[in-house]
Amino acid sequence: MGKSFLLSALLHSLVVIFAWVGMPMFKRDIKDADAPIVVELVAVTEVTAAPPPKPEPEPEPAEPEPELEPEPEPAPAPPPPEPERPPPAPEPVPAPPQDVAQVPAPRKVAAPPRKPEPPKKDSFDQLVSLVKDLEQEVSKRPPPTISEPTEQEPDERLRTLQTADRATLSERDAIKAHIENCWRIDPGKEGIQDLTVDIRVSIQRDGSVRQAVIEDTGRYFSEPSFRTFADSARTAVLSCSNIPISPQRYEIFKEIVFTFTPQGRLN
Amino acid sequence: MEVESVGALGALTTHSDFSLWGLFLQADIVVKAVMLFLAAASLWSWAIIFEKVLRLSSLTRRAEKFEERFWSGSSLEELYERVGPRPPDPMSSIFVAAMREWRRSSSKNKDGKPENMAGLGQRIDRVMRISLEREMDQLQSRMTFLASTGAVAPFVGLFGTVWGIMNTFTAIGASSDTSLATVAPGIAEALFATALGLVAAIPAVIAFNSISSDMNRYGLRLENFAGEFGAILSRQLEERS
Repeated sequence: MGKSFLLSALLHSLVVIFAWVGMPMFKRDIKDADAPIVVELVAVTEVTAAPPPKPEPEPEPAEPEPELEPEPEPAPAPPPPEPERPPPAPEPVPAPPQDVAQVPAPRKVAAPPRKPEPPKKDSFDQLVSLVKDLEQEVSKRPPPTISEPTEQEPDERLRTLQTADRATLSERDAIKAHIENCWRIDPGKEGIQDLTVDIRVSIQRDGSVRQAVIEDTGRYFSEPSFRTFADSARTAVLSCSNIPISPQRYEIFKEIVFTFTPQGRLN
Repeated sequence: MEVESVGALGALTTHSDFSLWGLFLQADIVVKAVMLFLAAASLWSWAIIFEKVLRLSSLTRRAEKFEERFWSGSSLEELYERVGPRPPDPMSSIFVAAMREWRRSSSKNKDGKPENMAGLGQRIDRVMRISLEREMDQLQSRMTFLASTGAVAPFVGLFGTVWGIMNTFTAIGASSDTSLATVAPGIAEALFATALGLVAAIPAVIAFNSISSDMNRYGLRLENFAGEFGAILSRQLEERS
């Protein structure tokens, strides 16, 4: 038995040595599995999202701070939105409504019609339901994205077009995603979270960038960190070519203002 | 728990060492134990295989030599003296057992009564059968281990695999990252256990089948020899009476 056990041990150690050293015929080149595959990631919601059905809220985006003073004049104007809600405890509590107002903060246009309710009722349940309503309303719209154009001109033109044309809002998202890919940002830069820069981009018919102008020239000349940030964004835009712009809608997209914020890159 | 699984995931994603040793080192403790068990089972079953194969071939050789001598026409007494009191193989030990009984009985009652002679024939048969069974039993020892290794090792390996894949899925759940690079190393490591189980089981099953059929053939040969030898002895008894 001892002899055969030795034989068995010898066989196993041979197998292990072969496995360890690796016989040449069993060697496969696993390295080529690492070949990079270029994939362009486009969020589906951004591409297919139709614009919000009612264009009314857009006209008055000028008032930017409605969430800070909820009470004064909107209170009498828009009670109709939720008349069925019973206002059981009328004592106004200012704190909760402000919290509520912070939830839809990125969507400033959604805020004004909502403001009046919070002061009227303060019970927690209604606060919760209000928050839910707000969330639903916010979720119905396309989510605010990092380089949402702040300029209204394209929007105005879009609104005047047919519904099918308005749905091509996603085309601007495609352009946006394309430019985003050109942008290399240094996320370790100090104070970069607070920097945003608007750049007016003029696109030519062949998809190349004709011009990229930094909007806030005052800050550009006074603040060095802003200047480097803005320059990086501008270089990104200028280095971009083959911007996916369709010839039919060239007039709409030939000049777009993009807001560059590092938020999308930082998380 | 969460930290643990995240750590496991980190281990999975950082080193993707696909060598056998690397796969073993990355494995969970349970999977490691399974692998060690399977390696030990393989080692032991191969030891048994070698032992049985060598023994059977030497026994067959000896049996042929012994039968040649047995049928060569020399006298049984002479053959008995030559084999000696410690027979080296089952066939000669059956022969020796029968001859011992024969001598003892024939030296005791010289008168040769017929009924005693009939009893002697039965005794010789019984002695030969007992000797044959003892030898076969000794020959077939440890064959059970081969049989159960062949039957159980795949299941043990499968257990290791299932355990490893469970761990992998826990790690995936903890990181909510389902990319192939996350999943693949854990599954490769887990499948290694099944591979070991099959490596242990397949030779065990094949060897068990071939060795046991060889043993049956050898046992049949011993039985035939015992029957023939019993016939010769009983013929001599009849001639003597």
